[in-house]
Order: sequence, then structure tokens, then C-alpha cells
Amino acid sequence: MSGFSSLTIASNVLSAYQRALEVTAQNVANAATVGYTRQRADLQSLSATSVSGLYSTSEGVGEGVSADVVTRIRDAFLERRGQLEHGISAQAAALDVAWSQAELSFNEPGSSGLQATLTKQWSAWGQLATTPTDPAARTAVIAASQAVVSSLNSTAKALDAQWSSTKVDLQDGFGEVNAAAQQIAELNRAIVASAAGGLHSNELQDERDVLIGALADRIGAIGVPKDDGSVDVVVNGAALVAGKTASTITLSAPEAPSGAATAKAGLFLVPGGAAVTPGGTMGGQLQAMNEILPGLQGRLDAVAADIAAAVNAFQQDGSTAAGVAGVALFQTEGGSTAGITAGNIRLSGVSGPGLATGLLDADGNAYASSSGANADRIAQLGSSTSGPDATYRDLVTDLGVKAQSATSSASSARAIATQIDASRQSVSGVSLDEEMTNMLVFKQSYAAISRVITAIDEMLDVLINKTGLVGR
Amino acid sequence: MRITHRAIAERSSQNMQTNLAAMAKLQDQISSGRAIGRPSDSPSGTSTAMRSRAELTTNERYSANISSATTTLNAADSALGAMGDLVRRARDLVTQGANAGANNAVNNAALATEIAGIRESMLAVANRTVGGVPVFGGTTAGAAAYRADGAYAGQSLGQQQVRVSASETVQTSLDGPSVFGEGAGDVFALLGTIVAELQAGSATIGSRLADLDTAAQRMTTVRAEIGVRTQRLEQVASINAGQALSIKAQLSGAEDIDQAKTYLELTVRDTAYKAALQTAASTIQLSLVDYLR
Repeated sequence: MSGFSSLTIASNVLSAYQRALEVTAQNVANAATVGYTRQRADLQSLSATSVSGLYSTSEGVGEGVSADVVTRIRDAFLERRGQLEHGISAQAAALDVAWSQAELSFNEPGSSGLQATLTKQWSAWGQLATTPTDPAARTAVIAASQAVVSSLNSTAKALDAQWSSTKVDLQDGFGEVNAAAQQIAELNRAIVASAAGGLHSNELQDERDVLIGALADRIGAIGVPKDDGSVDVVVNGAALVAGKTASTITLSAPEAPSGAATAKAGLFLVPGGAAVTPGGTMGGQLQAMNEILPGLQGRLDAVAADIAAAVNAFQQDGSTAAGVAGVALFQTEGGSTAGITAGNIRLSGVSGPGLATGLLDADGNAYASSSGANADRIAQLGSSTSGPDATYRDLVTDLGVKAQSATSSASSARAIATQIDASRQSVSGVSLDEEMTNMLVFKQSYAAISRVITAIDEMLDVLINKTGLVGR
Repeated sequence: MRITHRAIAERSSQNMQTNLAAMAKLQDQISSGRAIGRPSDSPSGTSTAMRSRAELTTNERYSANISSATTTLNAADSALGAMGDLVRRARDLVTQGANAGANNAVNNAALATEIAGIRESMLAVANRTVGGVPVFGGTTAGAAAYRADGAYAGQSLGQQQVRVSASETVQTSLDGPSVFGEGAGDVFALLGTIVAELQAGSATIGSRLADLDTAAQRMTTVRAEIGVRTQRLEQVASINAGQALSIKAQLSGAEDIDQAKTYLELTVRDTAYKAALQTAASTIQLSLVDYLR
């Protein structure tokens, strides 16, 4: 055994502890960095050569410590779970936003929503029933009916506007998704190359995980790790990033909304054209565009059609004060009484004297009278349990229930995602206390091995300078 | 579970955010005075609020209708009262005329003139209007119930019913012939006949008394019916007023906040928020770094 071999071993140990200290410094420096995974220098003791050969021997004493391996402390299962839950939570949040915005368009309960205008309309008809010969009462009915038409039109328009702005939001996210996919592909290439070369790529992997996390939020993607160190990014079965190649996504949607009959929008991969069912925020937005808003439009259209059909039927089944049969009061923009929707309902231009206040006689003919019996029948539509008021109230109550459940789903999904995040933090996060403690350990170990070096040095000094000096 | 400083910081920030959000919502409720700002706050409450609002408006409409109907029926009642007086006067005159022994042509002519005058007055009373609609014209769209020659110019087909509650209407139209008699047998024709007979000095004038009695009886019957309707209107009016109060209470219960409860909740949240802020300030700052030389 050479005396100098101990020194060499000791100096290796010094550099090992120095390296461990560097890892600690790296952890402390990045304690607040988003997405940073703590690293740990794995100290491994080096054993003596244990392969026996014909002419080689070994003392059997170990050869120190190595800190070559720096592991990244991360739980793959929690990672995967985190991506899933973030996707679900982001989708629930987007749906919550969509329902809340839709609620605002209706402005209920209150004195400025559609319900209030409907009530005023029926009340105006009630007034007309009591004083059918009063021109002011007739004008009031026309004005109140116009208010109902305006309210229906503006609510339909507000829902359309929400569709358009959701579409813009959706398209805004594409830049982020496509750029992130591109970057992940680049990172995959770099990480695979460094793994092949035996280098560590911890920071690159952190960066890649942050990007995949952002994609999980945005589009509901999950990362599927491969054996060569790359990670594929998959959205509900469609591969957005496969190894070193990235695709882009694009939107196919109608230019403008058309109420309940709006065509469905969808996402597609480029190249390849495969359909993508997104999760995350985009999934929520797409669901709002394809299901929530057209559904609400459809129900509002049913209310509008109800109002028009009921009032028109009574109008045509009554006679005006002058003795002429009444005509339809509500029509579409194009002048027809079929296919009335909330967006295209208009008044038909019937003036005050054209309101059918009286009933028809037994043979079904109109006659001049000052009776308001037909106006009374129309006024009674307001309190009918199957009338348009009841249909509209059902719509609003249903909307309230759905919005409420969307809010509670979003908050419970968020709670789960937060829980998973906390677990991930607990595994991968930097604890300053721990790092400080490690730092002390390495520092003391460094100091201790320095003492050993000093001792060996003194021994060698005795050997070199003091041995064999007889009589001097 | 291993706790890191970031975990503590993140959790503190989330808790503060939750408290702040709750406080903001309570603040909103207190400043607007309403517990329901949007349907999702309480879907069932929203439904109740919408229904109550509609019912309240309908209730107000019924009250207005009741007072309008009462006005019309009161006008009819006073008109019938006046008519009754006129018929009684005519009866006295006819009794005088029937006294054949004391009469001569000059007296009869004077009686005839007065009865003709009474007929004109009665036509005027029969043509009284309320709000431009003749009281005894049935459902006529014209301006008068009877023409100058005593012919009925109103509309007998149909009735004007005024709605006073969800299930009840009260008739306010009166059809001339049903009050004053049909066609050639109505009271105006009768008076015309009396005038002619007086001028001609007919001896059958005595039998006209019975006819006048019949006419007076008919009007009294109608007047009694109007009285019944007016009484019904009074009853419905007070029921309506009671209902209005209960609907308002229902609306307030669904929509308005419980002031005391909400203020208390805000105070509790405020305390919790302050506590969260203080503990966050003290826990986040500590770490081993502070204690190493």
C-alpha cells in the first residue's frame, strides 16, 4: 500500500463533499423557483477492488466516497395524477365561468329582466281588458309588447356575444399550446442526447415538466414517459408531441353564431387532421360553445315561440273594437309567424285599434263591441301554469341549478388539485431547514476529512524527514 | 408528510384568498340588501322571487280593476236611482190623468208635456257614460245607448267582465233592454204611448199605471243586483289587500338578507381573516437560516 494512495483517496473525498455542497447550494438558490425539483447528491461509498486476478491483490479497505450521481427527487405517479387533476380542475373552472357569464345575460331575479317585461305586458293587457275603449291602454299594450320583443332580442344577442368571445379566447390559447408543444419536442431531443452522453439533465427535465403542466391546464394533456428519456404529450389519445416531433392544433368553427342552430366547433391536429377532444380550459370553452350556449338559446327560443303562438292565437280568435277579426301580433323579421326565435321575433306592426279586445260571436264572426273579454284571456296567460312565464321560470331555475353545481364542481376539483400539488411539493419541494442541515453535515465531513489529510501528512512527514536519520 | 416553506406560503395564501372572497360576497350582500344576486345563489329562491314579483303586479292590477268596476257600478246605481225617481213622478202624473172626472183637455195637455219632458230626462240618464262608455249600452262601441227616438243603439251580444281575482270576474256592463224593457215594450215607448194617449184623451190611461209599475220593478231588481255586485267587490278588495301583504312578505323572505345574521357573519369572517394574516406573517419568516452563525 502506498502512503500517497491515501492522500489521493482523501482528495477525491474532498471533491465529493464539495460537489454535495454545490448541489445543496443549487437547491437553496432555487427554493422559490416554480417547477424546480430538489436534487440530491447520492453519496456512494467506493469499495475496494474485489475482482481477484492472478497477480493482483487488494487490501480490502474501501476507497472513499463518490458523489457522481445527482438524483432528481420526483414521484412519477404523483406527477401523472397532478396533470390529470389540473386538467379536470381547469375544465371545471372554465365551465363555471361560462355558466356565470350566461347567468348575467339573463339579469334575473330583478326588475329589469325578461320576467319583469313579461309581467308588464300581461298587466297592460289586463288594463286593456278593463278599459277597452281607452286609446292610452292600447298604446300601453303595444309598448309593453315591444319591450318584451326587445328583451328577448337583447338576451339572445348577449348569448351570441358570449359565444363569439369564448371562440376568441379559445383561439388565443392556440399560440401558447403550439409553442409549448414545439419547446417540449426540442427539450426531448436535448434530454435524450444528454442521457446518451451520460450527462445529467435535471434542469431541462424540470423545464419540460413545467411546460407539460401548463398544457395540462390549457388542453388537458398528460405526459407519457418513454424509455429513452423523452416524454410524449397526449391529449385524450391524440399525440400532440411524439418524441422529437410536435404537431399543432387548429380550430374548425363557424364564423358567427346563429343561436340554437350554431354548428359544432372542434379541434384538429395538424398534420394528420385527427380530431382532438380537449380537456382543461379549452375543453370547457369548447363545451360552452357547443352545448351550453346553444342549449340556452334553444330554450329561450322555445319561450319566445310560446309567447308569440299564444298571443297570436288569441288575437286571431277575437275581434277588434271596430268589428274586424284580429291578426297576429308577433312575427319573425321576415314577416312569417312560423319559426319564431328569440333572435328574430318582432312586432308585426299591428297598431292600437288592431288589438283584438272582444270575442267572436257564436258563428265565429267578428263584431264591434267594447267588451274586453279577449284581452282578459290574453292577460290570463301570465298566470297560466303552462304558459310562457312558467316556461321561462323553469329556464332560469334550471340555469341557476346548473351554475350552482358548476361552481361547486369547480371548487371541489380545485381542492383536489391543490391537495395533489401539496403532495408533489412535499416530495419535490426544497425545505430550507433540511438544506441547511445537510450543509452542516457536508461542511463537518469536509472539515473531518481535512483533519485526516493533516494526520496522514504528518505521518508521511515523519516517514520522509525523520526516518533513517541515525545520529543526526 | 414533508412540509416545505413554499407549501406553507402557498397554503397561507390560499386561506387568505378564501377568507377574502367570502368577505367580498358578504359585503356585496349587505350593500345591495339582497341575498340573491344571481340565479345560482339560490335557484329555488330565484323561482319564488320571480313568481312573487309577477303575482304582486297582478294583484295591483286587480286592485285597479276593482276600483274601476266600483266606479262604473256606482254610476249605474245612481243612474237607476234617478230613473226610479222619474218613473215615480211619471206615475203620479198618470194617476192625475187617470182621474177622468177632474180633467179636461188643457190639464191633459199640460200633463202630456211634463211626461214628454220626463221621457227626455230619462233618455239622457240612460245615456250616461263612464270613461266614454255608455253605462246601459251593453258592449257597444258607440257613444250612446239610446237614440233620440228611443231606439236601443247599444250592443246586446257579449258582456264586459272586469277581472278582480285569478278566478273571478264581475260584470260591469248593463244591457239597456234588460233594465228598461225590450224594444217596443220598453219604458221610453211606454211613456211615448202615455203622452199620445193623454193628448188624445184616451180613457185607458189607468191601465198604464200597471205598466209603469212593471217598469219600476224591473229597474229595482237590476239595482239590487248591482248592489250585490258592489258588495262582492268590497269583499274582494279587502281579500286582495291581505294577499298583497303576504306576497310582499314572501318576496322579501326569498330575496332580502337577514341583516343581523349577515353583519354577524361578516364580523366573524373579518376576525378569521385577521388571524390568518397574523399567523402567516409569523410562520413564513422562520427557518434554520436565521439561527446559523
